[in-house]
Amino acid sequence: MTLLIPYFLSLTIGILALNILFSQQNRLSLPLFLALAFLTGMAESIFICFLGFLIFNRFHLPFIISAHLIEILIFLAFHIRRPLTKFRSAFKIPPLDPDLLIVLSLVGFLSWLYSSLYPNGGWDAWQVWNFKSKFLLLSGSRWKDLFDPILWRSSPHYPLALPLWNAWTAACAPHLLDLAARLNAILLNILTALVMFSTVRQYSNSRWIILPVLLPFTMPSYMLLATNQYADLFITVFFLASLTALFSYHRTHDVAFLAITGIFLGILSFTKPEGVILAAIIFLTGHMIFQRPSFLRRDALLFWIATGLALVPAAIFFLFLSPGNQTFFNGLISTEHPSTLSRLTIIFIFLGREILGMHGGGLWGLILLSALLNFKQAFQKKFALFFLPIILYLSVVGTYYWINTRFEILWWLSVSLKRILNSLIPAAVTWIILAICSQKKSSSITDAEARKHNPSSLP
Amino acid sequence: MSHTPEKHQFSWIKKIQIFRLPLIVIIASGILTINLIRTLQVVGDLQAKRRIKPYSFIGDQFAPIKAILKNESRVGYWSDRSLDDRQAAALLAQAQYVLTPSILELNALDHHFVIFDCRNKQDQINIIRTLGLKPLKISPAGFILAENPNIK
Repeated sequence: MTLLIPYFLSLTIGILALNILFSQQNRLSLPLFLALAFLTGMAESIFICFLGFLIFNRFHLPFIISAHLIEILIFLAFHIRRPLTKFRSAFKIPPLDPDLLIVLSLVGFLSWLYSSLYPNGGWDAWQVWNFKSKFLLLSGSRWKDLFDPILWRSSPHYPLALPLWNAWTAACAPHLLDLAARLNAILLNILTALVMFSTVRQYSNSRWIILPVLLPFTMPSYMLLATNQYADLFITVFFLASLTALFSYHRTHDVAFLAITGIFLGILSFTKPEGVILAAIIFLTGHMIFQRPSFLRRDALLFWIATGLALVPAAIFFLFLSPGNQTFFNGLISTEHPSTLSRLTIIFIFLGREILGMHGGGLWGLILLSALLNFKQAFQKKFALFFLPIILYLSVVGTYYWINTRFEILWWLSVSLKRILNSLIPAAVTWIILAICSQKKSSSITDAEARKHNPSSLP
Repeated sequence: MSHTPEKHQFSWIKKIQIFRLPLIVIIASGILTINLIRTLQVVGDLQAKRRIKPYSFIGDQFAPIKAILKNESRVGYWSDRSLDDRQAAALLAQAQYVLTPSILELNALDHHFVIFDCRNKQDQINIIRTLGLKPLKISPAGFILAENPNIK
């Protein structure tokens, strides 16, 4: 039971924070509210743990718990100022949705099943992520030894979001760290499914939407990676949540969505170096999409402030703690390991094979086919929020594979490209479902308008 | 009724456009079904393997020396195996995970405690004797934890 205390505190903070942020006019559905609240609470807990390290130079559990309780009290004080009857103002409770229950139970069961096959996770789980979690939890004031270049196999230049979250969730029962890491992988899968389902449910009541939502979670190649306790799962869920929050802002103009997007971008940049790139791409794409005057003033300012504040931990990490990338050879200037044309060709072929081949269970093929068949809808300006970051991110990653010649390219692609593509799948699937739903919606609007203008023209 | 060549040219695209949603649903249903069958296969195969050889975390063999090393910030790890060998690399990584927060320094002998993991166990003992170290613990898996009395 003590293992559940950190989860409870993080979720409480997230619920209270979102309840303050979101206006009464744009109430979220309870499932989406809970998913975003959990992710916001996770982000807050990670930032508090990191602050604890900076202040006390060790994992300081009394400080971390006190900080959580103080934050909860402050948020409650905000609520007391409101009438008690409006306490639930930020979310609405929809009727029980059996589709949601099917999605959550199936994703939960499959995640548990796959995670039970490898209870200690994959190679990088014990070499990188869980090792760092354990070190942060147990090393006391020696925690900065984690950035010693002799630990280059554990990628000391990778930021600490997932290790801090694992350490926090195991803080009340350190001997259960392995179990906490496994539970976190299952939880992140469930949250990914919850964000996907509850986002698309806002646009369609069709039972069919559970089909595409379930697709990634039934793919063995996706689930084996999604339950191996890697930080890529953090990238998956926070990337998806950032895009859906930005998309919701586009629809509602509720600045609260921009505030939580900023928080999610902060976590993305604190998860992995490629998360920094992804966060920068999403931030810039957001500005390309929102060009209405109000965004340029008040909304943009809030977006910058939220993102700026949330980026502070990542900035501190990269400026003062990271030993720098130990595994980088600049192939553009190296004569021994140059970035050759053949290397670039291999990258393209491998990428094409992963996307168009059956390696990913045919899901990328279906995504591309659906995008082509719904070209007008899928590539509308508002959906650039989804497809531009995916295209730009893959371009940047491809360029990095080409320039960094530290590793033999075929081996490197085989161990990392699949993970990168996997982390984009839920966002890509959500994009396609939203595009198809918007097409159905716009065609029904067109019919309605046509009836209004010329009632005799329609049956 | 006459059609322009352009209309003829794109009529098949329009037909596909009409049936695009059912087409996507059919393909998605097919992929979902295949994936669920493959899930059963993958999970079934792994569970069958586990019945023959139960899951093990090879780093657990280092658990008995955790108590000895609990106050050591650095411990030497000496091995004559190449870390290109996946088994040897996995053993080091898992040993590091199990013995955290001590940091294992590969092939560093200038520590109070050194873990030896060699292919030939007799060579391993000879090296420890030559270096003047004192073997503290020999695991059933073959590694030896040795103490260097000259380094505190």
